[in-house]
Amino acid sequence: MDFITYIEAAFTPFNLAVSLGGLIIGIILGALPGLSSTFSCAVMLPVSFAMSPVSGLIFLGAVYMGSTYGGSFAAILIKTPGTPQSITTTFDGFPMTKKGLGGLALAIACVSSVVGGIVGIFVFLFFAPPLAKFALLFGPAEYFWLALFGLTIIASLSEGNLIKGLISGFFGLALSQIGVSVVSGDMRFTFESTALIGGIPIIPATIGLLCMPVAIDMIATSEKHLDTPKISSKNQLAEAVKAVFSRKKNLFRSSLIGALIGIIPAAGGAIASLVAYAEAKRGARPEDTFGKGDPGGIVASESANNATVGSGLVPTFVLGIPGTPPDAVILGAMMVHGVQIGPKLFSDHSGVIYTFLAGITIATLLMLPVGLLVGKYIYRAVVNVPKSYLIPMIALMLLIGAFAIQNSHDDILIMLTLGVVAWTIGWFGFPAPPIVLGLLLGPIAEQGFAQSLMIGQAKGSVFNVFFSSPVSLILITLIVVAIALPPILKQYSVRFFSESKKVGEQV
Amino acid sequence: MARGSIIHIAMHLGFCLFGMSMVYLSQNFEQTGSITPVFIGFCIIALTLVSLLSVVLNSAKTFQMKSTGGSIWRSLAFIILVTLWITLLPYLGFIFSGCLFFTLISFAVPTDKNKVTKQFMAVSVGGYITTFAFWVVLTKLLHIPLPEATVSLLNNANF
Repeated sequence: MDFITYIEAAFTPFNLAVSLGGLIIGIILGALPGLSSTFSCAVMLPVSFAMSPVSGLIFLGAVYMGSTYGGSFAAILIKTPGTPQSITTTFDGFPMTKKGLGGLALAIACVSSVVGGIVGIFVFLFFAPPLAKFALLFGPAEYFWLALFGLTIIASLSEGNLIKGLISGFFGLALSQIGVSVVSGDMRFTFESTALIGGIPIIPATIGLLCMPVAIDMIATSEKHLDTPKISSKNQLAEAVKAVFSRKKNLFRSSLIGALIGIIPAAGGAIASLVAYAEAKRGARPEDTFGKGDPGGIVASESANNATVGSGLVPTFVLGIPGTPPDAVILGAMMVHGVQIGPKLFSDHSGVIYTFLAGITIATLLMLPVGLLVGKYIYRAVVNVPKSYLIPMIALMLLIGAFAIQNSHDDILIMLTLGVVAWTIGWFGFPAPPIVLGLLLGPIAEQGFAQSLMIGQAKGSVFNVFFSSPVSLILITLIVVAIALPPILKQYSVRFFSESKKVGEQV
Repeated sequence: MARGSIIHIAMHLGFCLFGMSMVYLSQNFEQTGSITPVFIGFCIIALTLVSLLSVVLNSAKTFQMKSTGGSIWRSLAFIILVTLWITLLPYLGFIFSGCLFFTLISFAVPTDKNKVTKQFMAVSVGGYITTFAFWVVLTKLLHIPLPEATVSLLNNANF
């Protein structure tokens, strides 16, 4: 009975307005390149203090959910991930936009985000206590293997030339070595520049590596920047629902991957979407065109990153360890409101928790109409706006995105430098996405490796630390499968198609 | 050998040099801090050599550079303008530099010559409004700071 009362509390006009407001603000902030979900939640934190604990938490949850989805707008329309979680959305989203299917891509992102978001919340609601124990199974060795598993996606991002893709990936790993070493405290490759002490910041680097080359290429030609829409906006929702639910396996697998990775402290939506994308690509049918505008890529990326929103709350609420960086902001808000975190949270503050969960479920469901409406107008604006206005506008957004996170002019310089480097090496077939991947996963892999090595040396058996835990063994198996399976499947499918062609010819 | 091929090989050698300098510079770090960069450096060298070998041994197809089908000069003009914008940003501030470079970059975009004046006016006005709108929303509503000018007359607040 109490449970129903708590849920009803989320439906008060004020809480509904807070959900809607938080969602719209989150979508707008997330859509601006560079402004991450963490940043959006942090900026809106003071606003939440003016509300009751429940309303404040619902507001922050809605901002988080909205910004995670909002990141897909810029990723799909101008190949600039609004948030790091949407890096993989650019791989298929932007090619779809170039084909005149940007509206459909946005609608697919919206439907997938809603499904992923709901799965994440349900995982939290029904499995929070046992899953919190799962989060504790992750030590340095497991993080190392998880990062390596993420790196296996490089093979699928290599656009036809694996070696050049690997060189790009290692170049990204090399860039991740710049700054103070997390292991030894050495200042590595900083050349006495204060700007490089903290390392290469991921957001300006991602903006530069992925978006600058697009803007530079766009200005070179007199052709229209995007094809005219091929599907009328009236049919888009139906088409999107069809596209998403015809990939049920991909959708639910990616949502579950997102939910599981969200539980692991500090792993976050970016890694979840990378792993989900890699898995979707590995499980692709021969007719799928991942990397060239396949809706399956958007389904995997968006459902996974939104699933981390709900599931990231598991370690946050049960253990007091933030599952994702924005959860740290929510944790701070809870402490300010006097909500004690820990195993007794569900008994002492059940009202706050269940009303909050109902509130973010409402925000997730509201994302469907709001997201589709906002997406429709933004897409129309981007397609119809003249190039002479769009390109300076992109340049302006790049500058804001690179500057806003740390208020640093150096970040803008890093964005420009990496953008020009990515554009130059792109001429010779070296892809930019593996560089981003290396930069993102490099520190996690190195820290995990070095810490495991030290623990192993202290315990007298390095082998046991790396290879004895069940989670490590599962991850190692997945890495081996990830590397070995695609060539086998490719060979099998080629043989299967050539045989069926022969049979067809005989018939 | 074609110019494209020479540049392509030079690019590989550049990556190889990058890997070698990484290994060389890692000598100055503590052992635990040098393991990863040395490993990465050697991997870059090895992969570059394999790639270079395949480029040299295979057909001319691998030498082909990506073609955008557009003018490289416009691309370079854009890079120069953005570099200038970023260099002058701390002196001119967000609003003034935004308005100025919005208009300048729009000039670099290929357009119909008959519409230049009309479009210039429209883009300039659009640029001023956009820059100002971003400034108002980000700094005034969301309290996100944007670059201020060191030249006090051009401070964002004076606009």
